Amino acid sequence: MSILCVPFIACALLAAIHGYFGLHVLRRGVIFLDIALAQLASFGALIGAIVGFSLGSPEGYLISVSFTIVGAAIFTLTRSSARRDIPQEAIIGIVYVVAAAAAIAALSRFPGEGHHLQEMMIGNILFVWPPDLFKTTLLYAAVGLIHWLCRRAFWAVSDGDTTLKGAKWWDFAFYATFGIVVTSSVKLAGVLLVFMLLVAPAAAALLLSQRRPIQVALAWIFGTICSGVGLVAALRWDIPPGAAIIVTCGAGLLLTWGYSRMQHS
Amino acid sequence: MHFNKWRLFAATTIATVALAMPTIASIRIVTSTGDLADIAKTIGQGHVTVTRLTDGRQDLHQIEARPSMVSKIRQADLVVVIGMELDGWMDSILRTAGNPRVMNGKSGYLDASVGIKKLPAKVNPNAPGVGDVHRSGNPHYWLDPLNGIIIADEIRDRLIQIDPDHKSDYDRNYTAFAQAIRTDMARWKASIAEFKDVPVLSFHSSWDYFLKAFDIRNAGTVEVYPGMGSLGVDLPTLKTRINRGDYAVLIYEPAQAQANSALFKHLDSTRIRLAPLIPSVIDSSATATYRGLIDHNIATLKSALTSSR
Repeated sequence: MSILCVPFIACALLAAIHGYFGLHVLRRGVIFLDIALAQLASFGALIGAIVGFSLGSPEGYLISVSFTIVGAAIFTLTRSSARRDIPQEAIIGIVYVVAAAAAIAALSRFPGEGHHLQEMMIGNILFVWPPDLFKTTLLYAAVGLIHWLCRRAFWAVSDGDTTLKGAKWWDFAFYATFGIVVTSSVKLAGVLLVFMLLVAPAAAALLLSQRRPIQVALAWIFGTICSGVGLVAALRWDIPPGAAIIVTCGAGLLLTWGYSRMQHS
Repeated sequence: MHFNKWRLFAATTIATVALAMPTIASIRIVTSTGDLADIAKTIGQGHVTVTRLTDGRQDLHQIEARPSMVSKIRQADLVVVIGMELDGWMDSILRTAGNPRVMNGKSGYLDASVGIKKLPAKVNPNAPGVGDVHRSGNPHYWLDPLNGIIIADEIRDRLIQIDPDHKSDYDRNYTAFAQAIRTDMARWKASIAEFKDVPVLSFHSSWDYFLKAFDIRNAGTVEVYPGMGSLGVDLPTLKTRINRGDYAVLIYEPAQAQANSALFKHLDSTRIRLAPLIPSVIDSSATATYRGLIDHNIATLKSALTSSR
């Protein structure tokens, strides 16, 4: 049982910040934003490694984060000058595929253990290391605090309020903070689990409540409960915990949908 | 106080159990692969329980860790890994398990590659890129049976360190194993000696040690980028070279044929003879033991070599 103690704490943390960001992401309709930003970050880390900065080094992290920031700038510009016929999601998809292909191209020429590098960029919830978890908690707390203090502006830009002063900059701040969070999350828990904890809890919360503060709380509760159930299932049937949590979230969302249908009929 | 039959019985029972205790509390060995597990079982016979975390059918590069793997490492007295970055995920499991007996550097942690004379990772001189190259060399060393003896020797040393009371047993088991391998080796070599000059191509560079051990002509690999499958393979050139007789037999692993079925369909129509070899011990099959694995591969290769004539 104790094997899954640290993973559970990590999941509860991820559910908290991603449940909140998920509500923004659904509101904006940019579902695959996290995957695109994470892929940019890992391409950045790879470039850093090729230049000679190891993956754990501050320089390597800085290069990785700056790639995320570039992505944030791209998404800010393409959003505000959005043409109706080219949805933002198309740009997100293109950025993801280009970053992934660039990484494959770089890896094929990189004299090192490509698999190993990729493994280090994509974490596994079973292997969460307490000191890493602690550092990530501090980072999320800082981002969470910024979003709490500026909650009006962040929600206004997500709602598409163009009258807000400096809307573009708020947009950029949103993409940048989200990118930084996602990069750390993917390193901690892997792409698939992070995506699920971003979208499923927020969707469940939207099914259950109309009020934002309650939605934020519900998303966190949903994500945490599903993670707990998923981890117990992983232990019971000896399956990879990340996969178990993802399937549990899917089942949880189905149940929530059924419940909300019953309420409305 | 008079003599009591029951009291004597109880005392004898307790004494017997107490004496038997050390043999019941066996040394728990966890290995990453079945090959290491089988060698460990052979050397530790009677004093060890051995668990392997993977099966020969799995790609060692892509192992999804399960909770039971962590619990097994937590209880282990000795962990044996292939090393050379092949089973790098073992390090993550070891870190998560936090078992001080089997941490890297302790007597309970054995990287079986330490005593091995390593071959370089890259053999294909025409390859423009490098692909998935292991920095510390080619990690498929267990396929040379003489390296199996080196692994057995390392495991014996560790078992003696952990459990000096049974030193003579471990020594005896090791000597018997080494002797059996050497006897087999002579037989295996003799059975394919006549095919010394047949050029043998491998799909991936995982058979370099094996081919070298048996003096077979290693004609390189199909893969251009190690570990990247048919990516970048120049099929027309490959076919021309096969027709010219540069390659007579192709060694591949069943999973590689599945993953690159289009390429293998093309190869089917050429003169090259296919030798599907098994890279690692698989439970409940002809290759369930280390010696059985080599034996099976030699027999399969021999029939491909024979039909290439």
